[in-house]
Amino acid sequence: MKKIAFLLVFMLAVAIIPAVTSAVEYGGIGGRPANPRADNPRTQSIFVYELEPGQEQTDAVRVFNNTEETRTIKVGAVDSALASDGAFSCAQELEDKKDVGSWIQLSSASVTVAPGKSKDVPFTINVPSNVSVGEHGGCITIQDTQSTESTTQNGVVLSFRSAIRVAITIPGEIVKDLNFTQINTSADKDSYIVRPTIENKGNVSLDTNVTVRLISLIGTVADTKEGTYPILPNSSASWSFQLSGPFWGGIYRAEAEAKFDGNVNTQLGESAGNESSNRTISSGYILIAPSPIAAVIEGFVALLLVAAIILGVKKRSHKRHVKHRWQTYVVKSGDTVKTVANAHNIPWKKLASSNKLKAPYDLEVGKKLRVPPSASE
Amino acid sequence: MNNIKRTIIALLLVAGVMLVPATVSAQVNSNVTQTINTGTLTTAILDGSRNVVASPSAAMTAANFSFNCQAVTGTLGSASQRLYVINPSGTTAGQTWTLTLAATGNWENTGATRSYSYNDPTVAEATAGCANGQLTVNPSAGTVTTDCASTACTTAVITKGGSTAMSGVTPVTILTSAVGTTVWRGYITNIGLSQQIPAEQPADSYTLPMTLTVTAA
Repeated sequence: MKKIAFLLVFMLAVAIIPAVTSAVEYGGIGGRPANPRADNPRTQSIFVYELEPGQEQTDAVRVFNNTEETRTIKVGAVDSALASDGAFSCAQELEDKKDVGSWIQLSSASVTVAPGKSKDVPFTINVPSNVSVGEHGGCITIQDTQSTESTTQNGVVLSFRSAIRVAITIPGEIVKDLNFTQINTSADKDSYIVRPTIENKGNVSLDTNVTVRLISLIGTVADTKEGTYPILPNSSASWSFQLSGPFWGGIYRAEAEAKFDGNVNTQLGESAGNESSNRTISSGYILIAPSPIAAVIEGFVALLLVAAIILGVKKRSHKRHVKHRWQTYVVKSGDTVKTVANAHNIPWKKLASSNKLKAPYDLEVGKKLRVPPSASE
Repeated sequence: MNNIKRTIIALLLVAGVMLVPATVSAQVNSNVTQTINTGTLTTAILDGSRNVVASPSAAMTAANFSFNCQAVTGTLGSASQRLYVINPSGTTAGQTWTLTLAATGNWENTGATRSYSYNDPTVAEATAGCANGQLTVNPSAGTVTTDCASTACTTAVITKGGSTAMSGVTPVTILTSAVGTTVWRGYITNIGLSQQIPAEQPADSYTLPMTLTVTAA
């Protein structure tokens, strides 16, 4: 009887364990805009608004609990922060709110969500009346109150959060302009890192398609990488693109091209793929080492080439020596290549090759041959 | 004996409840509707079997007390503690995300009686970070690996941040995805950490609180 009970308990445990271990298989705690706009695909993942100074806007963030347990989830609003390399990020909760983070009032600071469910948290945005024209950034942060935090006593203690960008554009004299400021290249094992930097000189962010290429002296493209990235207003952004080094190596330059929508009347996310303006930058020429296999092949070919050159030089030098230092010998009756060669102390093959004689090496009487001067001369 | 019988009956009841819905739905003669719920963008430290690591760590190499400024190193992310980004949201277009790392306080011992900085503001010094302490994070030394099947889920849509000495409260970019990345799951390991410890920092165990933020951007 006890065995049956244990067996049943074991079966139940097996049925439950996989559900627990795959807790983050399809996303843990997170959120997204509750009311995305049909005409702007970017609003499926971030909040995008165009609001007048003093205007009020209501919306909601949908908070998901895709874990297997009921969770209490902290929701907050903070300013945006420019991360290293110019990437969009969010300020910490402890930092003073000076921009969009202070404009957002959430209806609740936390929400309890059942497993596999979501809840909408309404919020209101109150735009100050004295705000400047252009884009202002903020974030709505979502953090599990039971989030895993390391308990180490020596080292980095980590906590985790998700955030959703809030981009609010104040209408007025919108400026959309960017340009490359530099492009750097560096070798990285068997690949090449191309790192362009772009400065957005405008007052709104620009989703910019950046393409980098490695181009040879004759214009062939060894490798290309591209991506579209948001570049925040009045800031610089850079990315490290990892390009495959050309197999045979050689002299190359890196080129970067940026395409963006320069139309000041379109909003963030409304003009995906409509990149009407472009900028380019090119690095100086760089010598790229070949791959190891190519290096062996190239080394072998180079050796052959050097050997051929040495042989050619030697042959030419001998030809000159024969022409200027050797003397003329007129073939007499009974002479053969071997007898003439022996008489002048050189191998018969050398005599034949020096006089361009071909097999069967018959000599006609009276033929003039070049032979080394005799020792007495 | 009675207790065992009761236990078995209770377990059979639980098992029965678990099995009944499957039995009932098998008898329904209608169109089957299958809903796949969208997931959400999230970050976590998972092990090789994608289980949450209960207490992730990024320990630094041990150092002895020194009258000179000294550097200790560490690694964030390893084969058993993978720094995952999971983006199962599957939005049709426009999705991009960034993974950033920011400190929320200084290196402190238990009780916060001793501390040193991660973002030395001193500008002119012989060795950067020696006056008060400075942490350099190097994601470019890390390795990005995808953990998904679709052809769109590739490392080509991801760029690593450059090596950065922490300054002010500026977050360090670890990974950036290109716009249009719909579904992506992958991780980074071996992010380099290097901390300058000021001269004559008292011997103790110090921890630095940091927040990893994955942002839909």
